[in-house]
Order: sequence, then C-alpha cells, then structure tokens
Amino acid sequence: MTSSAVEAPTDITAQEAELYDRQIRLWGLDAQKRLRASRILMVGAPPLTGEIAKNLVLAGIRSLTLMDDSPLSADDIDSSFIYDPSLATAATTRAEAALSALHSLNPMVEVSAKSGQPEQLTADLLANEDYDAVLAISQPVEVLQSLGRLCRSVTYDGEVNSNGAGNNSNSDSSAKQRRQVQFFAADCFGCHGYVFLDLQRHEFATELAEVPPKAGQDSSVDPKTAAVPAAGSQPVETHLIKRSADYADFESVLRTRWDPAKLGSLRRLSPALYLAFLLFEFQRANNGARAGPNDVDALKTLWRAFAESQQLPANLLDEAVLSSGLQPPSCPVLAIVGGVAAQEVIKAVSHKDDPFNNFFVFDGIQSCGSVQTLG
Amino acid sequence: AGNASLAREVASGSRVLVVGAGGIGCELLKNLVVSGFRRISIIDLDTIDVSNLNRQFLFRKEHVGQSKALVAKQSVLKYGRDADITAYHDSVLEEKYGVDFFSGFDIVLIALDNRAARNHVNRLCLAANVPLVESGSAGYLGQVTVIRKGVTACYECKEQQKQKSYPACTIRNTPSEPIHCVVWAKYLFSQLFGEADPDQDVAPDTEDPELSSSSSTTPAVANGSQANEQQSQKQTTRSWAEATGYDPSRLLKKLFADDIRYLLTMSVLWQRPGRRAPTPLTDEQLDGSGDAAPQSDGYQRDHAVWSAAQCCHVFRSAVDQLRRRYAERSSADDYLVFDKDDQAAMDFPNPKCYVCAPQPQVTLRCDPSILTVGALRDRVLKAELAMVAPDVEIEGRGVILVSSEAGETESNDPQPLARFGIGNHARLRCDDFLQRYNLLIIIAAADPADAEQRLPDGVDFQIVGDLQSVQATAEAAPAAAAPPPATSGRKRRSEAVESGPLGSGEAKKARLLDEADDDDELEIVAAPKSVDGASSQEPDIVLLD
Repeated sequence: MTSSAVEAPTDITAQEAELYDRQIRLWGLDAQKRLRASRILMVGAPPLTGEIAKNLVLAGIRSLTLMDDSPLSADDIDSSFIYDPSLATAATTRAEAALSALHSLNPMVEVSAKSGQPEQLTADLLANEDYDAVLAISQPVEVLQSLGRLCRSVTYDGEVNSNGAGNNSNSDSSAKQRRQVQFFAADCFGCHGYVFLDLQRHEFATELAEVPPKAGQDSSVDPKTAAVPAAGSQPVETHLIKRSADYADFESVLRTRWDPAKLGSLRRLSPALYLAFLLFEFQRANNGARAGPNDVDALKTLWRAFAESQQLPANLLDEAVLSSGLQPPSCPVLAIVGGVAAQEVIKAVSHKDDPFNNFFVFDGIQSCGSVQTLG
Repeated sequence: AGNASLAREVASGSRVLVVGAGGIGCELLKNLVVSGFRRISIIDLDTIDVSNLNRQFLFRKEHVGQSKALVAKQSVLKYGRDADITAYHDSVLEEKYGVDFFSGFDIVLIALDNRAARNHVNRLCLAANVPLVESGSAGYLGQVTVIRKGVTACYECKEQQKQKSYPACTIRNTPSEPIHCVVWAKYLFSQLFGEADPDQDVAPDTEDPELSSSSSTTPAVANGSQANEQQSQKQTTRSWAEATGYDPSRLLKKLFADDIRYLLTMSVLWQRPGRRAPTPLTDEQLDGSGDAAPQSDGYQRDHAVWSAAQCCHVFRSAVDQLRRRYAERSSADDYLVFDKDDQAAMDFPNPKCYVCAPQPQVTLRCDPSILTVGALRDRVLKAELAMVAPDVEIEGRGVILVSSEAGETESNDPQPLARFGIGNHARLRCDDFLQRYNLLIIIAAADPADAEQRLPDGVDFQIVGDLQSVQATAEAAPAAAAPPPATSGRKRRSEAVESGPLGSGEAKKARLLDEADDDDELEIVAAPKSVDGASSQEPDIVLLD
C-alpha cells in the first residue's frame, strides 16, 4: 500500500512498540506507521549503501531491495561493515553480500537483492513493486538523470505519464491518491559527500505551537533559581499542521548556474559543492567513469573551463580540495553522509517534518554540512 | 594514496578509549574498527535493554540483559579486522580508572549520556593530558567537540547551558509542569525505597520563600500544630511508610489529599496570578476500585491519558510491587534504585498530574533598544522558529513591522524594536505566509540594571518556550552540525544563498561547536518534550539551596 497521503490503518504490535519506543517518542506514531508501510529500492550497493540501509532497516521500513550486480571486492569489504566477510572469495554480488547483516539488524524488515541494471527499470515495474522511494547510490550522472526522470513518470495504478514530465495537475484531486515515487541520490567522494532529494510536490506534517492570546505573565520567576526558570515553565501547546513543498528535478539541478554577481555568497559555499558538480562534468565527459587520484590534471583543466563558462573565479576550488575528493571515502565520512541521507529518507517517507530542499553537501575538511536549494 | 595509508598507519598504532557503548558508542566503535584502529578499549556500566535495539545496532534481541561493552566488542570482532579490543563492564567513575589509566591512551572518545561522568572524564583527560573528543545527542540534535588541554576550552570551561535545576519549593509546593511531577516522583521513590537523601523531600515545604515574601502570617505560624506534625513527618517519611507497611491507600491519601489540603492553607502561594491551586483527590478517586486498570498493551498504555482513578490503580500496583521488592532486599543498607527501564519504577510517577496547569507562552527576552527588526526576523523567526516568510504585526496597533513581501519593510531592518514603541510586554503577532502558523511573541525587556533579569554576557536574546514543538525543521546527523535546511516553499531559488557565516546555519553551528566565539551567541531555553524521564539523556537534577 502506498504511504504517501494515505493513513496506514494497521496498528503497530506490542513488540514493535517496545522496539521502536524511543523513536516513536521523537517522530510520533503516525510517522512510524508510514515508515513501516514503506518500500524502498536502492540502486547501487557500495559501502555508502550499507550505512544508509542500516539506518533505514533499524527505523522499521517495510522492505528494502538492493540492486547491484557488481562483484564484491576487497576494497568494498575493507571500507564497510555490511558485507559478510565469509563471502569474500565467493562469487557473490555486493547486494547479496549485504543481505544477512541487514536482515539481522531488524528481522521485521524484508530485505532482498534484485538482479539487473538500472537501465532495465521501468515505470511499470516501480509501480507494480510498489516502491515509495528510489535511492541512487554512487551512480554515474547519466543514471541519476534517467532514474530521476523515471520516478517522476510514475503515477497511480502503474500508468505512465505520457509526457514524462512532472505531474502537478492532479495534486488537488481527492478522488484519486497520486502515487509519487520519491527520488534520492547520494555519493561520497574522498572526504566529502552529497545527498540530493527530489520529492516532487511533498506534503508533510509538522508540529507548531499554538498560543491562545492570554495576558502575558512571567510566572514562577523564582528568586532561588540561578538559571532562567523558563526551562519548560511555560509549555506551549502544539498541534500538527500540514505543509507542502515543491522540489526541483535532477535535470534542473544539473543545469544550475551560479551568479557571478553574488561572489560574496559563492565564496562562502563549501568548495565541496563545486567539486561535486565538477565530478558530474567529468563523468559526462568520460562515459560515466569515476574520477580517481590519477585524474587531477584532467579535472583541473575541466574546472578551469567550467569556471570560465560561468564567469566564476577559478580559485573557488583549489587543487588541495580537488585532490581531497578523489580517494575512496573513509568510514566516518560514509557514516555521516549515510546518516544524513537516511534521516531525510525517513522524513520523506513518513511525511513528518520537512526534508531539506534539495542538495546537501558534506565537506570533510571543514567538517561541516550545508544545504542549497538548486535548480 | 599517500594520505590514506598514512591515516591507516596512525590509526593502527593508536590506543583509543571509548567511554560509553550506547547509541554513539556503537557508531564510534564500528567506525573505529572499519577505519583501521586496532587497539581499542570500551567501557560501559549498562546492560542491554530491548528499547536500545532500534539504534544500538551492535546488539540483538538475544543480548538483552548482557553487558553493552562486552557485546559491542563481540559484535565488531565479527567484522574480521583483527582488532585488539578490551571491554570493561564497569563505571568509569571508579577509582581504578584514574589518571594512570587515562594516560595509557592516545585519545579518548566520550559517548556518554550524563554530565557527571563527562565532567569526571574531562578532568582526568586534562590531568593526563590526553586529547578528548566529546559528543552527545538527543532527538534530532547532536554535537561533537574536541578538547585539548591548553589549546581548546575544556568541557567545564563554559557553564553548560540548560542546566535543568529545580528549586525545592517548586517541586514540593508549586509544580506547574510535567517535568516537576517527574522530579517529585523520583524523589518520592527515593524517600520510600531508595537511598535516603534529605534534599529530596517531597512533603510540603514550609520554608518556601514565597511564603515569607508576603507580610501575612505563614501557615507555619498560624497552624502551629500542623506545622509540627509536618516537621516530624519530614524526617520520618520512610519510617512512617514502614510503620504503615507501605499501605498504598494510606500513601495515596497522604500524598494526594492530606498534603494537598495542607498546601492549600498556604494561601499566599495560590494568589499568584496564572497559578492554579491544586485540588485534593476525593475518597472516590483514591479508592479507584471500580475502575478498570489502564490498557495493558505497551504503547496504548503509555500514551493514553489516564483518569484519576486509573492513576491511583496504577500507583497502588506499583507500590505493591516495589514494597515487596524492598522487603526482599538483602540487607538493611540496601535500597532500590530508580531505573527507567524498570516497569514498576516507571509506573510510579503518575503520568497525569493534578497539580499542573499549562501556561502557554512564548516569550522573547531581549533588549528592544538593541535588537533590530532584521534580527528579529532572521535570527529569531527564521533561524530559531523556522518561519519561512514571516509577517509580523504589532498587536493592537495594526502596524506591520515585518512583511513577507520583498521590499515593503526593508527599511525597518536596521531599526531597533524600541523605535517602534516595542517595549516590555509588547505583543507581536507573527504569521507565516502559509496562514496556518500563528505565533504570539511577548517581549520581556531584560533590564540590564536588574541582576536577575539581565541576559547572560554575549547573549542577545532568549526564547522562552518549548522550542522543539515550535521548530519545523530537523538537524542533520550528530557528527556534523549542519544548518537547518534552506527554506522550502512557494518558490524554488535558483541561486545558493542559505549557508555561510551570516546564515542561520552558521549561528547554530557556532552555538553547538564553537567554544571560543561568544559574539552573538544564541541561548535557547528549551523544554523537555515528554512527561516521562525516558529520553535519551537522563536529565541531571540539581537542587539549589
């Protein structure tokens, strides 16, 4: 069943209540019910997938399907905890090697591997297998583009929107619940990473305070307390309200042009953001290949051309930062980016609280994350 | 490849201590082992509970009841990394973990959930001159801080904000919010079953300063005999309870009827405007015999609102269980310890309290002659209260101070609020453009001359209220203090604008991570969200006297 706008009717069991108690206190029972009805497809099962998947499985989604036929490598095992080390010498795929650990993290979640390539996915398949979200992990930019388009083309009952563009026309229709497949993309490069969200038109609940107009009295200002006595002494009534937000599609984001007139704010952005886009450019120019430590010179040339075309100063991205993005990512960076990605997926599928809109970058040198609205 | 292999080399030779094997501890241990650290010690006094399993992922159902540190070690060893891990099922506060112990490490990582242990480890690391990485999380928020003696501030250099301290008189006489009830109940638990502590009395407080502040005679004088009885009861709550065999009926009557009646005689307490006087329970409610017990199903039970009679029923059964357990204790010196994972102890605080009266209010403490309109909009409404495009109107005058339409009120931005006649008790109606979010902000002008009202140094304003409910955004993962998301809303922006030193994100980051920079620091006073004490961080109760 879809978890988008429909209330999940089944109550959680006592066992689930006990297990999920601490998180239900945080995001509420409704959100938990939606989570537990959510089916998620992850395209790509590199180490970053292990981090994201661990968090989603622990949160109690309905099912997680991993799609990655690439063979398990020693490097994969080395930078992750999710693959079964006993399968190192077996002829196994990355997706399959992750299953047993994921299953044991939370046996209540259906975890499976799906064979095939991302190009083989169709709107019908997404609808028939009832996915609420597709996560493209460490995928080449062209795959991101096609998956992003694919998710937007899925409508209820498996119909494909013929023009393939985003569906906004029927959003007010109450007769038909529109299925939206939420699209996420994430990757880590060196000590940096990004997470991208396209939730189309996203509706969510959020808690806000309602304060009935009453004569303001600063009550219980106790002379004995040294600290401000207000810690909870004036609780505010809260209620859930519905809000909505519009998201840009991945294509528009790729076409982002930075305004050279706003140099001040551009300088304040993390260089990791420019690096992320530079790496997309590199993939486009190199048939989807990932840039590595040997590609520094090619990247420098590419960056100069890119900066020139946008009339940006070349020193927005220097060689040191560039190099820092070419190593295989370390475990803590994967954990951070994976944590952020999972958190946003949880918000998105549970329709509770607003997921960020729309491009998060983690800069491992500054140890800082930031969100931009692009596209 | 140079940096990566150097990192691995350093990692494999380093001796690391992880203090705590809970939520953060599990993540840390996993990251350390996978990153190439080989000599790791981990210490935690706790055992595994089923409610840990949703995030403390090194533990499984079959491990419930076992030591966290030991199971964490076993689980990461299965990653096959050849790590040398020493696990201590012990309290880091024990004497044996002194300076010598800490000196044996190259770095210490804190993954604790309480301040006392943090202070202790902080001091030992300073004494041993070992770098410390301190971290903590609660709900959607978290922080990581590096502490290096002589280089950075230490954990105790700056007074930790949000020290949850509750004056004795408030707890005993005039509780007004759920957290007071929880504290009261914990004290009652101690009085009856726990380690005797004269500071944790629950009987009405005749030394309440509010009583002596008025010129009228205090009940202690007017009702001398009652006061004497109360005095002697104060010292002997335990022996009184023991003498009555912990009879739940008599306990209920004393606590929720007799003591309440006594409190009511302190009439001056109930004259304060906005404070509701308590109502003693009737005999019918106390008996509660006819009423069904609350639903026993876990989730429903804890989240439904119970009637007075149901509360009494639960109280009785909790007292029954606890007195039996107390009777079975091994020696006269032994006592019960309150444990949030112990169902009988958790039932003990009544989830519905009859002495609480909600007093909703969001107050902005500031200096209106300094705080500008622009700052109100950007730092208060947008950054802290997550409004997207607020409109602010000065109530009663129909004057629009801030308009969400670009260009309309920009000239107001640099002006201090006082220029618009906004002073103490001024009321500002704030609407987000979505029209369904209304917030009344009441200005409390902090008089700099008044020591009690003055804002702490370096703090421009304080928002008083339950911020977690008011905020619409959530923070990113604990290890990175990511700023709140860029505004989502009716327009998609084509340029990047939200992050940067002047953006809301930097301010939050500054508060969470930057010890050295006091400028424009935000101090938020936030209320705990849930009634029970079972949040991820046990609140530290400090009694001021």
